[in-house]
Amino acid sequence: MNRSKELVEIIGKRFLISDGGFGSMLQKHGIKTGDAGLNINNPEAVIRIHEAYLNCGSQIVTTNTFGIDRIHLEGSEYSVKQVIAAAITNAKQAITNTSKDAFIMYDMSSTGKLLKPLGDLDFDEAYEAFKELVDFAKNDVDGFFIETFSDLYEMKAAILAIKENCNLPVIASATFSSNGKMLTGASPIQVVTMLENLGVDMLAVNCSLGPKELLPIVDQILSVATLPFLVQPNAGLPRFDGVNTYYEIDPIEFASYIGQMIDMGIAGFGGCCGTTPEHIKACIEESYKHEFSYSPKNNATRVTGTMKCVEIGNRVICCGERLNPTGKPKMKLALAEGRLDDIVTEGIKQIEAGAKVLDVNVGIPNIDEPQILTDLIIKLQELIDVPLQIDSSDPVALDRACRIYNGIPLVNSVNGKKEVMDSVFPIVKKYGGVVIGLCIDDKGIPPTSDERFEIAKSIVKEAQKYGIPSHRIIIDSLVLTASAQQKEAIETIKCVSMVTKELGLGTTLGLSNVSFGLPNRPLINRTFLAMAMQAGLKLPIMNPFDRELMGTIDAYEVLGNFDEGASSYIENHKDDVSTVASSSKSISSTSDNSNDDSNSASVLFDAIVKGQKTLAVETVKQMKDIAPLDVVSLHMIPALDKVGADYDSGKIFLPQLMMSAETAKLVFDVLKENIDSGNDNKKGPIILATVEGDVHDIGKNIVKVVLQSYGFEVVDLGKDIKASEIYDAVVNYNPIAVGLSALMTTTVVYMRKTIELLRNKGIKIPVIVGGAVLSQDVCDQIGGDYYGKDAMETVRIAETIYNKIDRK
Amino acid sequence: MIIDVEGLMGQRALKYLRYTEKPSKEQLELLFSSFSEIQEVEMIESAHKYFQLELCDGKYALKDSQINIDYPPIQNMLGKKKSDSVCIFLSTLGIGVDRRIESYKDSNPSRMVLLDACASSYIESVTDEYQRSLGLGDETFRYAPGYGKVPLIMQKEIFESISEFRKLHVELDENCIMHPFKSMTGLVGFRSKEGRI
Repeated sequence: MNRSKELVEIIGKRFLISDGGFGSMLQKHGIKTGDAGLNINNPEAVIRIHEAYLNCGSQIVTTNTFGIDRIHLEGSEYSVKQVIAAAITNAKQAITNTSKDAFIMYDMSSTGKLLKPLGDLDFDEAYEAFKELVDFAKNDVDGFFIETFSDLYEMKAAILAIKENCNLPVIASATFSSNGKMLTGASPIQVVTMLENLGVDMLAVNCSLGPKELLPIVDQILSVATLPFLVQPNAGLPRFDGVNTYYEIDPIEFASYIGQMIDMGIAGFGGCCGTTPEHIKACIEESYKHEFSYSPKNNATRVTGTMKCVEIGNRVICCGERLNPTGKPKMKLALAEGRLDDIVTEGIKQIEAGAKVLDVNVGIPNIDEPQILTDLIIKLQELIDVPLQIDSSDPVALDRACRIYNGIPLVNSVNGKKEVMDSVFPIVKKYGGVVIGLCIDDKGIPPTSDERFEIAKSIVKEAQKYGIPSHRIIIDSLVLTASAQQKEAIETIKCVSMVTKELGLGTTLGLSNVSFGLPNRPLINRTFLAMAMQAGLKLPIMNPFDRELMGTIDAYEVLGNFDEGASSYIENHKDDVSTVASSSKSISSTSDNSNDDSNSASVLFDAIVKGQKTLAVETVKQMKDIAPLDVVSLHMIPALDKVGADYDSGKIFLPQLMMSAETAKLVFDVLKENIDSGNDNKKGPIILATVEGDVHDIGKNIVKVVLQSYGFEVVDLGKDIKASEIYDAVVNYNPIAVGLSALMTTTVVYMRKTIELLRNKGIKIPVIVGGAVLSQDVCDQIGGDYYGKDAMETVRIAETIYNKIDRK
Repeated sequence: MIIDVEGLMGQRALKYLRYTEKPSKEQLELLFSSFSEIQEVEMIESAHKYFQLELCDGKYALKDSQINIDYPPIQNMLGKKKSDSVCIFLSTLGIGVDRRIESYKDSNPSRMVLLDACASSYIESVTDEYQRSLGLGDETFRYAPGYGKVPLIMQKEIFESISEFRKLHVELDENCIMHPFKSMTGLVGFRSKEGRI
């Protein structure tokens, strides 16, 4: 048996004993740390440290290659290949010198750079840097030890680089901060999910914290891990004596914590910063007093986003369906025009509405689907932290999107067709995805639940051939339209039940198909949802903006005893209760419309004042007998005026003013649909911009929201905008005013330049200036027409300007 | 970190919102939920470096450093406390907080404003706690570049001189603004046990 196979055999069967700190040992011998040439110029020192660990019982020699890669060594006199060769030679020499039976693990560490979008390193650049290390090391080591990674995304690049280029075992070690998460926000459960699904051989944690601080993290990992788990803590937290950093936990105390962790179920141990051969020796002696108690936990179906991990298990998880161009002309247009920001905003809104996973599909004709899907995933990952469901029938698009995806994706989908499974399963396997299996095959969608169930079973069986376990499959029993195939709606429900009970798998359905062609579609959708949840549905793909559909899930979770103490239900529906209590007549009854509208008006007023968006929108939809413009002038504006007065008098703070403004804007959007299109009520536009050099735009955004709530059309140019761009916008949009914002004294000069440019070009429209460093005096000095000290003042100024124009 | 909306953490957030009244229960709840959301996404990192002080022509200077501290407020505070050392530190909430705030720009601006204020307060609390953990003796007030009459350009000197800060993934732009935004540097004088001056 070769050495790498021997290593795999040991993992999980008995303790795997790693080595300890290297830098602290160098420091102890008075040798400078962080010297890339150490392996070459002072091999004796490196070999001496390896020997010390081997002599105290370490079974692993990790090569002295921490921080060795093309990024760290850029500009160095040493090449990556040189350093790696010397480091491996030193490790081998130590084993020879001590005659110990130890494994040589290549130590692979972070590039030290954050990957995009958090940093500036491309995923592919990171991959190539790691691949180079693998190529240089793979023939001379027994395995790879990925360690001290604080970014799970970078770990993915490293693991792929190893697994795509050799067959050696991988131990993957994450580093957690004191808040219990990795630097980039991943939780222990997220780490376990990612590493296990990507197919490493052993999980590990190291560095950053001492053993005491690591205990809760170890506990969380062991509560879900199926793979064996190794721990390498620091010797306590770092202390500074004015010259050097030192660690204060001695070998005996350190070993006592390792003993606790052995009882919890770890399968290996070692040390990191500050630990010495004495620490490892003490741990080995301590291990004799404890039983090896590693036992794998049950498999679970989990998917992860950049910072969120979702388990498809007991609870019903809403998957937002709105990032799919089918039947959505606005999204089609946004995709065709490359306006991905608009799509990201739609995604954020779905999450705010309660979606826990988002389906992402860009399938429109004449589009470069692999490129657009990849671009969109990258863009979504900048701002969205929930798991994504990558939805495409193009295997190339799926492969590229899954590769750059920062997490464990849901892959939508395979079906019972052999060629589809053959093209999609390798992608799912390589990137650790969870895949949706559709109950359709070459003959189409079978009419009966029994036949669909057979397809589900064949998908599970075929997946196993690719090494994809059943817990990484979710079955879609497929929803047909009840209007056309009424008999088959119940067959879908039966299949959901069979998959749940007999295969024990999670299930998903695209709900809205069921109601096509029928009146009151939401009623059909939510009734079908309730039936499907009772049969076992866990991942409905649906519209999260349908409050009643979402409410059906919340109610089901209470009645099914999944929502403990009905806490989620109460949180999500506390405003519903007040609706019924204060305005049940106005919302429900249809017997007396004038009374309804009167009550509704009162509810609307209160909802705007309190910033209750859903209630306000639902209420204004009921106010059908009041002219939209009357709703604006008699109810909406008075509510806003009250909020403005409360703000001016200090009764409420700025976010509350804005919540009311946002609510009013949503109400206004509803009313706009009913306002006669020939009636020109447009107020504005007003151009807003944060001036060149200034990247702070919160103030400008506040003004925008409040102006919009008062019915002004706003053209928001964004932040760090050059004078020439503002001038161009003025020419294009012919605004009634320009609003300029600056936070820093250094950028007020650009505000002055902008005003000068506008005036020199003969633009006479008023310029309103605002921002933390502005005052009436500064406004006068730089040639501004109005100083908007805050958002409400700016509205008053805008109204004044508008009224002057209106009178003219 | 414990969220204390009725204590300094909440008071600072209200200060950033320019709110001077006693907060209502509803407002405190909004603050609490915002601080909780920040805790979900923060990636706190901190680092520090010690410098010995020396007197040059009657003025304090950092020994073996290019960082200029010849600004009246800093000189005065060091003189008043008879400091012999200075600690400069940096804390950041990480890019996740910036991104979360940014994510609300279009969909929920009021939340963006709340989170922004709370994150500004939170980074101050994080910096307070980090400073406390260093256990400096007889400390001065904490000064930061851009505060009072200490110019922001000092930030550049600090970042160029202290390599430890580069590992925190905090970068300065050409206007000396830190990215992630919710980062904070601090300069504190203290008296070491040895009494170097």
